[in-house]
Amino acid sequence: MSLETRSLSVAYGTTRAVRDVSLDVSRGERFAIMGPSGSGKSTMLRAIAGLIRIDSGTIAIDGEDMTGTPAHRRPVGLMFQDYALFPHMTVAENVAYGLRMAGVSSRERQLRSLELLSLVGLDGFANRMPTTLSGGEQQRVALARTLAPAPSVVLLDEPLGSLDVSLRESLLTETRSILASVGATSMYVTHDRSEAFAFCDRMAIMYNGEILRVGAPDEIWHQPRSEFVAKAIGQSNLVPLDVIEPGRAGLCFVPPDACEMHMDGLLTGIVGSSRFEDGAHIVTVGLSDGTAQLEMSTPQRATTGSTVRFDVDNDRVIVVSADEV
Amino acid sequence: MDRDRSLITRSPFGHLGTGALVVIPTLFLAYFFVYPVVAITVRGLTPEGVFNPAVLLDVLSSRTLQGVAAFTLWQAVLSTLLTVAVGLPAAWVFARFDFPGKSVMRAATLVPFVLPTLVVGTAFLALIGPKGVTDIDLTGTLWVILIAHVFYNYAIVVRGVGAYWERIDPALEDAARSLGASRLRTFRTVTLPLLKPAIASTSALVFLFSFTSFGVVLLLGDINHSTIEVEIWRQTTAYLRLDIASTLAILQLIGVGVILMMYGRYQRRTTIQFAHGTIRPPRPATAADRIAVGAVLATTAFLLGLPLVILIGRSLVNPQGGIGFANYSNLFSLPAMSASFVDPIDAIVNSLRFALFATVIAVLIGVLASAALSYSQKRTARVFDLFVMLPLGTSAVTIGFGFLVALGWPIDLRTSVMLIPIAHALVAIPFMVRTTNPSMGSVQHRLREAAATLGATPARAWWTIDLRLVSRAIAVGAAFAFAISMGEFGATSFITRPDSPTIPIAIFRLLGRPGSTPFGAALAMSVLLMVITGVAVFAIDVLRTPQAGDL
Repeated sequence: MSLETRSLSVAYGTTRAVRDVSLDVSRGERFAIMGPSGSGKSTMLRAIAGLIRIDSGTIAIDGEDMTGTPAHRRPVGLMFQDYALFPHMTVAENVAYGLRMAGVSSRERQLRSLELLSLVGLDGFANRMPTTLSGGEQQRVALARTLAPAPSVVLLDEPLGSLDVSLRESLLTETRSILASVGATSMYVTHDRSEAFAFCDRMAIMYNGEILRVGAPDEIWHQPRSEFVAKAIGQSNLVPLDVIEPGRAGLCFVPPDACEMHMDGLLTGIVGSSRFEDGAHIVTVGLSDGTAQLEMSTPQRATTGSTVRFDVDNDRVIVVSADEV
Repeated sequence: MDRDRSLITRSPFGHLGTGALVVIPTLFLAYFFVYPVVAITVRGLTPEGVFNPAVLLDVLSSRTLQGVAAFTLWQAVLSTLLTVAVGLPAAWVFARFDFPGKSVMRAATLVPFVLPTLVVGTAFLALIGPKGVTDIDLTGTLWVILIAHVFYNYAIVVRGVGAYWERIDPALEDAARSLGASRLRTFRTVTLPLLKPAIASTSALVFLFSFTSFGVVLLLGDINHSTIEVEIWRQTTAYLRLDIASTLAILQLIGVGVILMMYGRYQRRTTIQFAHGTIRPPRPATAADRIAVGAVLATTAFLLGLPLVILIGRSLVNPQGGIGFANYSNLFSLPAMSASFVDPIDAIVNSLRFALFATVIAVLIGVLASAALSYSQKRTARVFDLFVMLPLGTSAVTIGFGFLVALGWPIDLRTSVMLIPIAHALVAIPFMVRTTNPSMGSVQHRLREAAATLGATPARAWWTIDLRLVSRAIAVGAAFAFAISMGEFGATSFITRPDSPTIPIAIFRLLGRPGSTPFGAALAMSVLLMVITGVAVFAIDVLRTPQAGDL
């Protein structure tokens, strides 16, 4: 294992920001932690980097216990949300900083920082000052700086959070391939599910300081197990199971494309609204018995206020347990 | 909330180290500041070795001294009101508009503030004194003192309030306008309330400087127009009444303490940052804006420029008539005629040497104090801050006088040459702390964390990040210290020795002589001093970064 935490707990006063978290990330793996703000995911990263004191538990990197090791001696690179570039140093000096601390000779530092700048696509930026760069460029410098000392684990704290949407997608793909090219083990923290899905091999869903679920994105998508996790990964059609399979208690999520409208459908509902998105009509249908509302993806339009009949593919319905929270 | 759990402490030295940082400045200030002040107090209250409030009662009941105290307060109140009234429009123009030559203008506003009081006094003598270019002689009136104080403190209001004004998001004012408020109404209901802490803290500072004004009042006032500060000096040097001088110093210290506390309170409020970056303000667009900006700038140029232009012009008028450099060449010929004239080269060399030492001391103590301030706990910092700022309010005269009274023990330092640079450093340390502390405090915690994750030890992170980011602020503080030392007169007048006079002392001696030749030489000397401090001031503005603090 490249990174292991065991029963990690951090509390701020009486608030328990991280509760008893045990995670394993294997070498070269891209791991994401996803959760709403305040769920404790950034605190996790800061604890792993050694920036904050933990209350209990252990942290090991490459099989070596790091629990009591100060931040500057941990083989961990942290990329900050606002990048934290040193404003008084050039881009190259920023990138070379970690190497300088490691006692690498100035010649070698120079070569390596140019190499990294070229890796992140910033050839020719070496002598610029960070304040003269755009947000996306700053993000790349921060990535290069984090990677320069070749840390065993790269931690990324909402690294795209302060960029606009169009830039986010391309930088995410790029960041992902750069990390892959250097074979880095990484842990990516975000509140955005599409970012987490696009980035990771495996992910954890965090809420209220606890890890609710760990697994590959498709695994979690198909078996979220709990209502909260299902909602967190973007399932929106929550209905009582009873509606689809009469007599069964519990809740289920219905994928929008698991519904099919046709004349002899078993279920009836009234169309609330309809919009066109990604090649299909998304129709919101209120069930006739008033128990729930479903979004379904259909090839044909539906008129608001009209009554429709439809069927649900029972095999594709995801059964979950209701949350106590 | 992150901070309580943070393993990356703000201080690179741990808690013990921060303690050590506090110790050195504390010891320095304790011996060179607190001890002399206490000695003055003891001396005032125990004239013959036993406690005797008689002198205190005498002073309090003396009609003359009551008059001095009343005048000191009265002129300080008027000076403050007038300075704020004159300075606010300029603060607005500098904060809200961009115009060609703005940075040079802004730098120029600082010139009078760092000009030696004696130069300012001499400039006004050249303008409206008995030997001045106008036929009006305003010396010995309240007016001349008020005008000189406005001239002197204008920069504090323009820069202090202006810097704060700049950070108020213009969108707030736009919002008020769109909600139906007129410009005046917007100013009254939005801008002014937001500016209040800045106006209050700068007013306190202007009041403080006017309250303890020395050189200007000494040159331009008379017996009926005198401050407590001048009275302390007069009682000591003219009447040798150390007991009365001590008592006056105590009374003044109390007043200063009260003002400083108010200043500290408002100053803290002005450190709240507004959430917006520095947006470059627009050029004045409408005709009304252009007229307003033009008028304000013209007034500023006139107010600040006139006395200096007159000073320079008058220094080029030869004593026997005609235009030329006779006043400057007289500087060199006068000492040959009488031993009581100071050799100008000597004075310049002395001043430069003292200023160099004073700057080194002020930088060392100031940076340590400033580091201690930004790395210690909030409550400790607040007390320590007040302690470090005390010398700012304690008049220079009190410091000089205190040195004379106290520093005979444990070793007699009163004849040491180092006494003058130490006194100058004391005056400069508060400025040093004020310029470096904000930027030390504003070094983002994130950067230190980033350095740590990149393998920097705490000490190394401080050295490579904090110190580098603060170095320009330190340079600004050093330039301030240098300028202050070059022009310092109040304290120096007490502890100067006949064989090592400074430039201000030389000017003062020249002004005390009858005839137009020494007066002309004083003008020439003042111009020299103005040039030297002027260079230091422009260095300050060139070096200043957005993070560096103002007063």
